[in-house]
Order: sequence, then structure tokens, then C-alpha cells
Amino acid sequence: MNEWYKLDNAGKMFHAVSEQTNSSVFRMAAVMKEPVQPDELQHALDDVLKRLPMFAVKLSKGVFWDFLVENKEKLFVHYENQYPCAPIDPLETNGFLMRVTYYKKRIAVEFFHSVTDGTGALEFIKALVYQYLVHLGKDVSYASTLIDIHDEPSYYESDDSYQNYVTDEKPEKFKEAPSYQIRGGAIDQTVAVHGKMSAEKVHQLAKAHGTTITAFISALLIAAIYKERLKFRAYQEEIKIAIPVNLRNLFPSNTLRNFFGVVNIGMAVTEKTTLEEIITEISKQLREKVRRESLQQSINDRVKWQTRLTARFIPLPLKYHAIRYGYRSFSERTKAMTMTNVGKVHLPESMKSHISHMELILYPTKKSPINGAMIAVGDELVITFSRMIKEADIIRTFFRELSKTYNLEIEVYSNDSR
Amino acid sequence: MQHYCNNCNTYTKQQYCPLCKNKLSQKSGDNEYYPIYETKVKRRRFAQRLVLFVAIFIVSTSILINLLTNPDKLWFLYVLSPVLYSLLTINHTILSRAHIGSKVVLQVIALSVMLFILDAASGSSKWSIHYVIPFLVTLATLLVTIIVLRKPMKWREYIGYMTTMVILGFLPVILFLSSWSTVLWPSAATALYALMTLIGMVLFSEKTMKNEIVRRFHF
Repeated sequence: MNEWYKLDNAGKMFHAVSEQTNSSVFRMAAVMKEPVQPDELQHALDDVLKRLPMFAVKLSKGVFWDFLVENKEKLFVHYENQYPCAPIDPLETNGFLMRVTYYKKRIAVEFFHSVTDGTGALEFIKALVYQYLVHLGKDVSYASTLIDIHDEPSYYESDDSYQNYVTDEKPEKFKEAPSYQIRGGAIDQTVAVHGKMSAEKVHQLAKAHGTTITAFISALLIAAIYKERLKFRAYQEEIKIAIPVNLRNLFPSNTLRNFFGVVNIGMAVTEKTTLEEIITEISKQLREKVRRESLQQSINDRVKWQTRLTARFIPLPLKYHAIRYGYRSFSERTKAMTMTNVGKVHLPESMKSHISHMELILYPTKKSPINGAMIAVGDELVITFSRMIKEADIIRTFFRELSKTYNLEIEVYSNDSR
Repeated sequence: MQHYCNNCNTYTKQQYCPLCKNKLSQKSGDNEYYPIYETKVKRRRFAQRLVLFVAIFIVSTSILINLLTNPDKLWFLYVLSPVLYSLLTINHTILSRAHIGSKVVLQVIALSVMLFILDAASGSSKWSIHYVIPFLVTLATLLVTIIVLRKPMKWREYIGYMTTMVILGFLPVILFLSSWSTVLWPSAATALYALMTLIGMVLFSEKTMKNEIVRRFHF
């Protein structure tokens, strides 16, 4: 009997809004120290998919909601031949909503966001790389931070935690103010720019300002956006950064499916605002918003539209139009950019020595054409910006400021080889 | 080899600085991190665009000639419906990679519409809704049934199309009841056939069928 799963709350949304210019596909990659061997990677993938069946799925159409069904086809690893975060065409992936690619030393996993979030993808790639190293015959030892491939899949791993933590509390009515939006000349592929630097040094910098890496980087970004886009104009809009928050930290859950919330932080910047002031304000907002109470609100809010009785029985095509409208006018308008931080990846020492660094790429969208993501392993912090506009001004200013002002050594690389 | 970009104060291994595009090295080396992509901008295939263009050309020309020469008799309808039907047949049924089930269902609907327009344009003796459409629906239902029986592993994929065909099977009877149609027996036969298919689906597919319905209709 084929197993099936309802799409979780976020999964329903991503499925409804994805299109050519909004792929809803994110990439997590590990850059190894030696060139990747495709055959061993294929063996590792076969093993891992058996253990994590909630990733081996395809989409099926229903009358009121679409859903995920176990996919018994084979998922093949293949040589990287498309730009990062390209839309996934199920005809090319045997129906799978993910792809696994390799290029020289990189193993990349790309997921359609309906299947899982950053945390799920991280568990997946950790297990995949571990298994790959095992197949290579490397001396790696298992540690409890990894998913045990020999275990049975657990019920909790495919939980819809949004449903488990929703409460009856009436959500407060409050309208989020719109944010400045980045515009630019559209290009038809995603350009990713990675900046690799010392995680420890950035941590020390943030600490010196009395804040976290996420708040520090977001503040720098706001300053960069202001400098490049809003300096010479009368109307100073708020510049907001959307920051995805892993809800598993505040609402205990073992799920490998979506379970995250988003907080928007930002402020209006003027000529006189100093970077210190931005950092202080951003850290304050982050502290206030990343609390259990306010995130509970956002869970209730999210689940509300899905469970409202009238919403349930509307046929799917109509419902999708409504979701797209809501997404465009509420979710996308209230941010200039998304910046996600997966944080420091904990790997067993025996694995670390085989991995140079990791990369996380978030897909850009039409209304949010530059998005950022960061991930650290060991002392290598990689901040990646993906853009679908020609202009690289904000990204350039961000990295320049970081290297000039704080004297950081940054290695930059990109898929834009012109 | 690492290059240093004085402009951006960053290091890179690429020939040009990824941030400011300054040339940092004379050697054009291989990018260590990214391949050069075969740019694959998804557009409709040339053949499909050509067919669409020809169809638009024929239809607009015949409308123009019709209205300029003989606006009393709208003969362009005779051209319009076969052209639209051929457009669907070539671009969807033949050239697209859509599911066979959807091809069958769309063919039935398109053929029915085309025949109905031809029928109405030629003085409406209603031969289309009386005889042709009911038998067309029966034939298509039979076709989907045969496909499913030949590939029993794939019946799940076809269940949506099968259900659509069964629903379409009752359409002629509804036309009769709403007194659009006046000949009962072909419509009744089609409805009976659809009913038999439905009963067959329920009886022979056992428990998995119920599960499939639960999935498809979960809310």
C-alpha cells in the first residue's frame, strides 16, 4: 500500500504559489575536499531515501487539496547542469520533488519547499554525506547528531507540527506595514554569490556589538540596501528583512517536514542613522519577536486560513487563486529581502575532516529578487545571495562593508562567470 | 589561485571579481565551483508555436473574408471549429507530454464541442447530441477502461480521468431531461454503460479504491 501524506500548512502555500519566477526550491550543498564519485553518491542516496520515506514523494491531485504520495521510482543523482534553485519539473526527476546533483567537489540537494524546510534538508544532507563517506570506505564514525540509517522511520518525523501546536486563542488583528521593495532588471536565471569567511571572527564581531550573528548581518544588510537604493530620495520607507525562525527550538518537535515561522524586522533609515543604532534596534526587535507567545500567534494565523470551514470545501483552483493573492499582497509586500540562518552545523569530527564548507541558497522571487542565506560548518561561514536581477549593487556593498569596516578576509565566488 | 580585488577588498579564484566584474587575472581558468549551464529557457516548442500561428492565421483570415463578402451566412464557423480541434489534436494530443488520460478526456470534450458547433451551424438537426456525443463518451470510457486493465499497476493515475468519464457519461441523459435532446436510447445506453463502469470500479478494485477516494477528497 502506498503511503500518503497531507501537505503541511507551509507546504500547501508553497505548492500554490510556485511558478517559473518563484521556484520554491532551495539548495543545500556540501563542498567536499575531494571530487565527488557519482556511483557512491547514488548508493548513498538509495540508502538514505529508504530510511527517510517522507522525502521520497510525488505530488498527486485531489479535489480539495493536493497531497504527497510515496514514490517508488528511482531518484538518480546527476551532474549539475542547471542554475541553482531552478524549478523542479517532475517529468525530469521521475516525479520526485527534489534533486541531488554533483559538480567537482560539491554534493548539492535541492528541495521543493512543500516537502521540507531547512532543518529537514540539513538532516537529509548530513545523512547523505555520512552514507556517501561510508560507501567510499572512509573511516567515519556514527554520532547521535545524525539520523541512524538502520533505524525504522519514526512517526514523529512525518508529523505536521503546525497542527499539533495550534491553539484556540484568537489571533490579534494587526496589519503589518509594507516595506521598501528591491527592483531591478530581470534575468532568466538565478545568480548565486557566495562569500566565505571565518565563523569565529563574525561571531566575535557580533558579540562585540552585544548581539547575534543573524541580527548583525541583517543590520548590515539594511544599511547596504539604504546606501544603494534609498539614500537619495525624499520618501524613506521602512526596510524590512524577513527572517525564518525554526519553530522546533520553541515548540519541541522531531518533524522533518516544514515547521518554521517568519518574523519581519526592520526600520526606516535616514542620513543620520548610524550602524550602531540599526544593530541595537534590530537586536531588540528580534528578541521581542522570537518568543514563544508571538510565534504561537503566527502558528494560529497560518493554520486559521487552512482550517476555516468555508476555505476547506472550495475547489482547489479557486483556493489557489486566493492563496496567491494573499501571498503577493501580504507576505511578499512586507519585506525587502529574506535572510535565513541555518546556523552552525554539528557534525561528528570524523566527518568534518572530509568537508570543506557548506552552502545554502534560497530561491529569489519576483517581488523579493535578492535573497540571502547562511550556514556554517567548522570555522567556515558561507553567506550566499541569490538574485534574479542584473544589479549586484546591494550584494557588492554588503561584502565590501564587511571586509573594509571589519577587516574580514572574505573569499567570494559565483556562478556568474562573465 | 586566489586573486585579490582591491576594489572590493575580497579574494576570489575567478578571473573576474564576482562583485564588481573587474578583471583580476589574464588567465581564463575553469570555475572551480560552478559549471557553465546549457541555458534552457523553457518555451513552447517551435512546432507548437508554428501550429498556433497557422491556426490564428486561418481563423482570422476566414472571419475577415466572411464578414466582408457575405455577413448574412456565418460560414467561418465551419472553419473555426475544425481548426481549433486540429490545434488541440496537434499541440496537446500529439506534441505534448501530458498524461494519456487527460489527452483522452480533452479529445472527447473537443470533438463533442466541434461536432456540436458544426451541427448547430448546419441547421441544427441535433444529430450530434442525439447520437454522436453519447457514443463518443462510451467509446472513450471503454478506451480508458482498456488502458487501466492493460496497466493495472497504474490504475491510481487514471482514477481521476475515469471518474471524469463516468460523470461525462451521465451528461447525455441530463441533456435529454432538460429536453435539449429528444432521442432517449443512445443517452440511456451511455448512462447505463457509465453506471456499469462505476460499479465495476467499486467491485473489482477492493480496499485500495476506498483509500484512494479518501486521499483525493481529504479536506
